[in-house]
Amino acid sequence: MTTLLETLTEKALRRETPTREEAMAVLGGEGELLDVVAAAARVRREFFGNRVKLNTIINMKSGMCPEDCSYCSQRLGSKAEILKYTWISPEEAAEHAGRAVRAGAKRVCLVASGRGPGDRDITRIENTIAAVKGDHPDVEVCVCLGLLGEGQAERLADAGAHAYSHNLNTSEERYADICSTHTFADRVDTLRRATEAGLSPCSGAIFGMGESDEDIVDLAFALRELDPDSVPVNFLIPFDGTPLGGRWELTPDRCVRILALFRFFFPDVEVRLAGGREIHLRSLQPLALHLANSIFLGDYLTSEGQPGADDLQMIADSGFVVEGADEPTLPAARHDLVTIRRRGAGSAKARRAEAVRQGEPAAADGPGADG
Amino acid sequence: MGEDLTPARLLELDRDHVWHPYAPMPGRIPPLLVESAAGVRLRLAQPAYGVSELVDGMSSWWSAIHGYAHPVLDAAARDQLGRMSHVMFGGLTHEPAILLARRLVEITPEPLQHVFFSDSGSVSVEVAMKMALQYQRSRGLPGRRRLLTWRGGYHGDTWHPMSVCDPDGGMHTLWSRALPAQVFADPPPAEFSQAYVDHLDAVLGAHADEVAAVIVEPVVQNAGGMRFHSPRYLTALRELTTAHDVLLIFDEIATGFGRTGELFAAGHAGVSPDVMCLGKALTGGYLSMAATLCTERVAEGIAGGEVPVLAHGPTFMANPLAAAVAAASLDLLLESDWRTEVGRVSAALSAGLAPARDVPGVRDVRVLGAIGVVQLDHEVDMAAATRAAVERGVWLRPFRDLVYTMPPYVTGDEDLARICAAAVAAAEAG
Repeated sequence: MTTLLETLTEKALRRETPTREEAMAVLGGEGELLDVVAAAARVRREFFGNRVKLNTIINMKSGMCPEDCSYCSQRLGSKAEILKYTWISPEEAAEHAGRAVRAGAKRVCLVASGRGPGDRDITRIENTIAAVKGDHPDVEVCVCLGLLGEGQAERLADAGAHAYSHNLNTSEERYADICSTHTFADRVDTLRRATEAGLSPCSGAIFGMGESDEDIVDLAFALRELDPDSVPVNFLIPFDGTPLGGRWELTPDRCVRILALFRFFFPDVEVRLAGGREIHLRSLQPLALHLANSIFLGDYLTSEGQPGADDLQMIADSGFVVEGADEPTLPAARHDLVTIRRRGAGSAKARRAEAVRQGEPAAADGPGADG
Repeated sequence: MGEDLTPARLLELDRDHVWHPYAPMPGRIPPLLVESAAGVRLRLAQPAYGVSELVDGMSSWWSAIHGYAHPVLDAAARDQLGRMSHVMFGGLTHEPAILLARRLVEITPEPLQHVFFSDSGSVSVEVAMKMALQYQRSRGLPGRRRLLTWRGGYHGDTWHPMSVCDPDGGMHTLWSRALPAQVFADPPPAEFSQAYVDHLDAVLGAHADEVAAVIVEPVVQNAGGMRFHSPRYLTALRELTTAHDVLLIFDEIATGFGRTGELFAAGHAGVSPDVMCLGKALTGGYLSMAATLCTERVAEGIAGGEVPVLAHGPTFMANPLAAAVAAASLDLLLESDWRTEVGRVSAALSAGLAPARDVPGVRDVRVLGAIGVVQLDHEVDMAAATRAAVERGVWLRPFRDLVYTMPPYVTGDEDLARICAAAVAAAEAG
């Protein structure tokens, strides 16, 4: 008889999505933890070998956000004593990016607080992308600015942004519980805009906000529908001064099961171990490398991560290697699928994205050209 | 001696000689003669409409948050009286001012580090404006000497504060041509709208070269019309003023010290202004005192200018008696569970004022923190509305199209119900 975990591994290797029942069973505690890790790790190795992609986050504008997302230290009315500042200069951003790239980061995520960018903000980001890429032409630049308006995604794509990141965070049903100032649908809309403009879609989640197993599975299916190229998995950093401050409901076991589940849902997609890994996985962090194929290096938006040297040591100790700038992150088959989907949209936007892409190396050839 | 100062005689003298706020001389509507006040009750020297004790629904214009004759505040005043009630502040200083300043810096947003004391809210706004203009002048931008605000505001009755009050509907329309011409944006909508943020950006952008600061009342525009707006506009203003490199002044004279449900209304958005004005409830309603707080950047900017001093010095600056009571009032507030109490008042106002929605002529009923507003669709008949409230044992002071209340936080549930019933009756009568 085939066990649940064997089934999940085999389906994932065929890029097949788990059923709701299978997903619930993994979260519900079926299978010993190491067996769950082993089953998902087979999938990870199949598509990503022993490579770990390193990403770095640069907070371009911190705090003073008009949105009220309850998990966020930068939210409306946040009492968290975080750094607050408005736009850092393109030069300063490029300097931070350069340091991270020299430490092994392959992707630079430019993040700014706020509901969404104004057109002036897009100009700032265009200049920042130019500055970052001027120093390090091969680096992938991912942009995360909130809700996008008409034409903004296209401007970012034209400026050389590689990806756009906008997390769904939690299930559609629970969205109003964590945020009243925008909706789940707003977020999906922005992801669609970014995808249509030819940006590689990045969208993930935050766990530990009171969600049930059903919510987690709902979110996994919702994300699956968006067909992202990368999926950051965050565990709530419960800042004092936010509504979810002091909320510690995750265990390392649960975090590992969530990561395994996401590997089954996103077998050939970059699953990124993101915020909160140090404080929630704690001594089980290295296990997570067998599930996720990507991590953030260094500090997060408003809190400090573990020192980069410790991360590199953990990667080496666990038998993994840092993914090089000249290695594609995603498996070749996924590039092809992605390419077909984007060009098949048939709208004016899709044609424009196509035109933009013609100047770039063919998808599977170029460094980091997974979008 | 031997003069028989009956209530009637006192009121006669009042009518002959005493000018009252926003009133002609002699006054048209005789004021009520208050003999004493304790807790949340005003005791009248002679009954009005058969009532000799009124529950105070106004906190003496936002200030008496702990009620009247509070033993702790009385003791603080007596204690300080034994030392000195006042000394000048030029060249001298004293413990009450020093400790109060430290306390204010502790409880306001972190960037605010320096305190300029004055004797009334309007003067604190004058000081804020002077700071802003002088800051810009000191950094070589003397052309930046206008203020930008949104319509519907109220910042006081002295000359420059009047210039940033609502220029059309407000109480200072008479002077709109005589006052310095400031830059006005549209009034902030209640709900967040990106289009309004774009409007603010456009107005500020068009005048950035001549504007020294943006001044607004955060979250609640008080005497300009008792309108509430989304705190999300505060984050937008913080961002826009930083982007355009102008200062941001929050007038928290009415909203400060817990009234809106946050200690300061800026806290709803979690942003800090460059300059903040405080007054009213600062002394728990005991004495007249105000404060203008600013950041190190503002203070250093002025100090680095051609004239490094801020040429301002009210005679009663940092009055020790007021400062001692203010410190005691702050302790009283912060040691209490004020957030719960304000929440309790808020819930009682929401429930108690709801019936006003069914009163003909009522346009809107709104509550935020310990502030309840019944807005009519016509100018209120002040005499009739006041009488209706007094007959029900409550002191309210309606104005324009508004019957509103901001009771002391210590008001009990029964008294809150009474205030609400009186407000509904006032709305019906007025």
